[in-house]
Amino acid sequence: MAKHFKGEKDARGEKDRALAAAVAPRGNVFTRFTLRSLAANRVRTTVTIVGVALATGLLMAVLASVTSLHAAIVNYMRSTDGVWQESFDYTDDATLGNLRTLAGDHLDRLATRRDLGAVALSEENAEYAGTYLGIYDLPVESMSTPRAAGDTDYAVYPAPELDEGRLPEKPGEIALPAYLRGETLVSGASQITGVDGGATSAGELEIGSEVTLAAGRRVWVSEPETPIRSGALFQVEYSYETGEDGSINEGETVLETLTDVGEARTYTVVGFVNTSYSDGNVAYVSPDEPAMTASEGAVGNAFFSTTGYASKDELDQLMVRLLSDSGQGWSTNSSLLMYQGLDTGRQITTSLVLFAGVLAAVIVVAAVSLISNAFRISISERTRQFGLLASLGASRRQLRRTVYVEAGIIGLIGIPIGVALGIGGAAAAFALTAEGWSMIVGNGVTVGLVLRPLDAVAAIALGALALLVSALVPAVRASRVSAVDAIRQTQDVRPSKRLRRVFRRRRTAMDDFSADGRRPRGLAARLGGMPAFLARRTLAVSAGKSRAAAMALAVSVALLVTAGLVSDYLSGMTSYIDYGGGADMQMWVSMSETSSELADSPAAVNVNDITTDIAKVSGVKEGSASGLVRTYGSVHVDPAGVSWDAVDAYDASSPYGGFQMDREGYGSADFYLADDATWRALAADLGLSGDAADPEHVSCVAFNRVSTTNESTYGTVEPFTGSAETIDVLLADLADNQWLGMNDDGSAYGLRERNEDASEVTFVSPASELGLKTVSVPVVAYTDDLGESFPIGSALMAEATGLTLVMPASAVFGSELEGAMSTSIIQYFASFAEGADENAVIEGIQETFGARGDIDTVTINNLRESLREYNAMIFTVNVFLYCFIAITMAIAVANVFNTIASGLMLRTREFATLQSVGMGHRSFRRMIFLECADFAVKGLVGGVVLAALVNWGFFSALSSSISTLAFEMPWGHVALAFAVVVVVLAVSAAYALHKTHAMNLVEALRADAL
Amino acid sequence: MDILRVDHLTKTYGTGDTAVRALDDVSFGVAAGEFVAIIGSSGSGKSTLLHMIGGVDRPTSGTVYLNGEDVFERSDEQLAVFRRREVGLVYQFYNLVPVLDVVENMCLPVLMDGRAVNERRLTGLIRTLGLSGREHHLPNQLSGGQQQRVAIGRALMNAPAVVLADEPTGNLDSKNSAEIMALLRKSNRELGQTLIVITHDEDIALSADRVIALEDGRVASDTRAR
Repeated sequence: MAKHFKGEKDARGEKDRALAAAVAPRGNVFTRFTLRSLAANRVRTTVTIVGVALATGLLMAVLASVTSLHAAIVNYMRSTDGVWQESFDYTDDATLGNLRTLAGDHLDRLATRRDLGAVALSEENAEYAGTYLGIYDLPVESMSTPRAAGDTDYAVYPAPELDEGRLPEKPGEIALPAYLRGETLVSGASQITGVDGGATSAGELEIGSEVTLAAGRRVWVSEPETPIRSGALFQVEYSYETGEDGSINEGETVLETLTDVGEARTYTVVGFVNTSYSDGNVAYVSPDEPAMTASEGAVGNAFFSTTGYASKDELDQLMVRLLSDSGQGWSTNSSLLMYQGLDTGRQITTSLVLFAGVLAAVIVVAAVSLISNAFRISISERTRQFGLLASLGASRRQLRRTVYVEAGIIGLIGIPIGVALGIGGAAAAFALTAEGWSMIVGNGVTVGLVLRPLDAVAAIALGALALLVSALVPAVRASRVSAVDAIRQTQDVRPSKRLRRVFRRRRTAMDDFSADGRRPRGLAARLGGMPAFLARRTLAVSAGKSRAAAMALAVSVALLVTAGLVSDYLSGMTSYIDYGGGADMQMWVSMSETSSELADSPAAVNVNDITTDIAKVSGVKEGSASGLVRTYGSVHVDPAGVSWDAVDAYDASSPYGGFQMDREGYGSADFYLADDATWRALAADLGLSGDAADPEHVSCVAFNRVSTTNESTYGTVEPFTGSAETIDVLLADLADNQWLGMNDDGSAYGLRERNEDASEVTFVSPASELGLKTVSVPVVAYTDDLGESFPIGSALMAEATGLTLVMPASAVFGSELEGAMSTSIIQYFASFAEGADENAVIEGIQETFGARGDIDTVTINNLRESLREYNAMIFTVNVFLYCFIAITMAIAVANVFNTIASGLMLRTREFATLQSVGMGHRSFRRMIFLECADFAVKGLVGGVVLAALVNWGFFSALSSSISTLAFEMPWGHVALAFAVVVVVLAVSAAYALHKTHAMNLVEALRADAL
Repeated sequence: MDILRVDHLTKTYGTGDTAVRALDDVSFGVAAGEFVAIIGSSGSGKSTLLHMIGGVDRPTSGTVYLNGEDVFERSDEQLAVFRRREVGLVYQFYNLVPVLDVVENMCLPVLMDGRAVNERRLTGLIRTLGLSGREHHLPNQLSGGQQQRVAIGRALMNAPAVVLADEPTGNLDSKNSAEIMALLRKSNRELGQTLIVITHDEDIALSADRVIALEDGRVASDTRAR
């Protein structure tokens, strides 16, 4: 039995009193009483304060992070697109005056530029440079009254981005789009019927060259009065007609023409600019440049921003009123409006907002659970103290106030610590990940912590609200404690209704026992003896308390599952952008002799030699060299081995059209032929051995992932069910005008043939009827992740229109299979050894390739920078993820500990009594174990329900942006979370029992709880 | 022959400078059926002595023999069995298990032992203790005096070798005190129950067969009533 040290306890008591006295040297008796009891229960008080601080901190950090990221995204939008919200074209300057009148004080900043016209290029130049070259002058800000905070850091409409030279400063100067650099503009007919090219240059264009341009106005054929922006795409309508024989005839109708062409003028090239998506194919001149068209008119483009409008609707109304006379349309900077909160829509943002909403809800629930548990226990522990105070004349209001004072003190300490923790944590996380965030956001926008007072206020308010809600019930309960309860020494045990009913039915004394009188009545005693009986009874009598404890466990389980879910969903999202393999260098090999025959390409056949040579170059990291020959061919898979649901999902959302496979299992496949070392590394990653790992042995790894990501949603599907043990590669001996492919409606895969004059393609017959010879290739593994050692990232591999198989090159070359595959891309990869001079390594590899003589050209890309960017992004996501997990773990653990440990410590005297009447240690431990097991099971059930709700929330939030997301219960996380909770429960119970035992049995029996 | 023998019992709490010697070489014997009152001022070691005899706490040195057997040669687990079979403890603060009703509390030691409840003894005790009609009440539905009677019932239910009571009336009014003491004395007279009672109450001490006075952990006097 543990010894009790009287001296030490007294010393501690002194300290507690000193602490209490220091905090409140004066103040009323209730405050002092509260302070003293807080000081006396240091462990619980600390856990409660830590809980409040953690919850507030987490809220603060989440809010601050969201604000910071939002600010960064808005800045990104402003830096790329400018701060303009609406844009319209005008021919009459009075329109600008009308805008000023209509918008009034709402008008913030306005910039205008002139669209001076478009120059038609000759057909020869149009081949690569487009039909037109538009001429704009540089935007000029006017009539502005800058008010919007921060907006002045960015242009209303950004000037074009320079690639070389400078922007035009005076008439006669011009900045051309960078794609014209090095080109020679020549005269000749243009792509528009009846219009000649209007752009010529003396030679190849460079800085200082002269260029002669004659600009006109683009107008619709149907509405010659309505101009088209000079930088807009060439307006053509395409039509398709399917003939009776299945052939397709394309038709195109030009919808626009060029009029009002002015005199040709000569300009000096002062710079080259990058073309922007919004401006199109455009050259820029200075704002002072005179008009260029024959009528000397110019169309104005106005861009403006506003303040004080609450929604996009209000802006739209303004535009309607402004432009109703002219009948012109307008354009909206919709992404900026969306991030400014003026426009809703766009799925991915909605997803993120909902995701954050679910997180915030989880945090608030967890905080309330944690804090209210701590209070509930603190109050029930002091039932008798409250009764005593009541007996001494304390009113109910005073007793309630005691609890609120306790909540207030805990809040006053916990909430500021939490806010500081949250800000500090978020600041540290952002400082650590600034680089990664900049890369994620893009355009060199710096991302740092942005603090909004509103966030702090919200975090404080939510923390205080959680505290208040938590204190409410205990406060009422405290005020109900009667003076009689204080004097009566019984603990706060009231029989539940059910138990009272059971007792009421019992008449004689022996009704309490089984027929033989050897044990108490009831199932629990029959099954588990006295320990089970006592455990069951305790749980039944204190149903409310045990429900609260089970609820606390459930919240903790759900919280931990949530952490796992956040991790899954976030890493799932990053997997959609995992384009990088492990290699620093990517080498594209191209041959001047173009043949699609695999055997004809030395760069492919010699893949092992070449890889070995690369590996020998000094500065190449050991084991990093690899070669992949990408080929394509036709295969047949047992239809049971193909997931047709996945194929349907692909057909529905892939931007590349239908999946290249018919329902009989015939289709096309990409083969990646790997050098020996890469194959062995892949085999090792996948846990293969024997023949399966041998590169001389014909086998394949089926890559079970195809991307269905399109413009609006992300997604991947698994095309294989995994049941096919072999895949048949089709050996087809085809004429030059024949190939295997899908028929026009995508229903069958088979032989296609082009007729002699190459005007028509016909589908001859499905592959199943061709009687083709096949080679059966065993599938040694199905995987959706080829691992770190594979040089191409899984997300990139998944961008396919058919099946993807990885095979060992050595086994394919020289075998029948060689003839079944056509070469498309040959790539080699390698990484830099640590500290190697990157340029020297690249040169070394170039020399090696040159010395071989079997390769014509090789382009070496240094991927290290983009790899670093990718890694920084992953790192950033992970830092935030692990911070979240760590804090939620801490809250979950604090919650379980508080509930279980405090609950057991309250029963010290009951335990001592049981032992004094002869309950052995073993029985005692069994009783505690059974009680805890009951909590654990109830906690698990509640936790699963809560976790399912949270998961459903996340799922609903994300399914709008990830098309192939399936709702799955994360049983693995549930099991893990449950295990964590059980361990914490066990530790808490052990701690509590140690504490109750540390109190001498004798002391415990005499303890009068005060 | 003595049913109980306390043999050079010493108990020290703490070590070094803070060491407190609660019992200092205490020896005495108690005959079967004897009613012994132990008196002494606060801190004289009365309760410590009682807990040693009851097998609730272990001594620093010396031992206790009950029915000729050394109590502290037993393991903790055996000591638990000893407590439920050989002794009945009654405390000032009743120490009932709050979740069990009157009958269940009384029969707790029997049930722990896995033996059958003796119905005659149980109903007899309930009648004697004046708890009829309260069999299925929880402790918090009882008055203090009733709770203490349940505690006495629990102590007597197993017909232990010795009943140990630590200020059993210390928390009760005089009417209830008298009733409780009457019950204890009755069990002593009618059932020959060996009884050791710690008390501050002179009347109780005077009604005992023998009064042992403790002072600073030592036996100061040991007087038999004649």
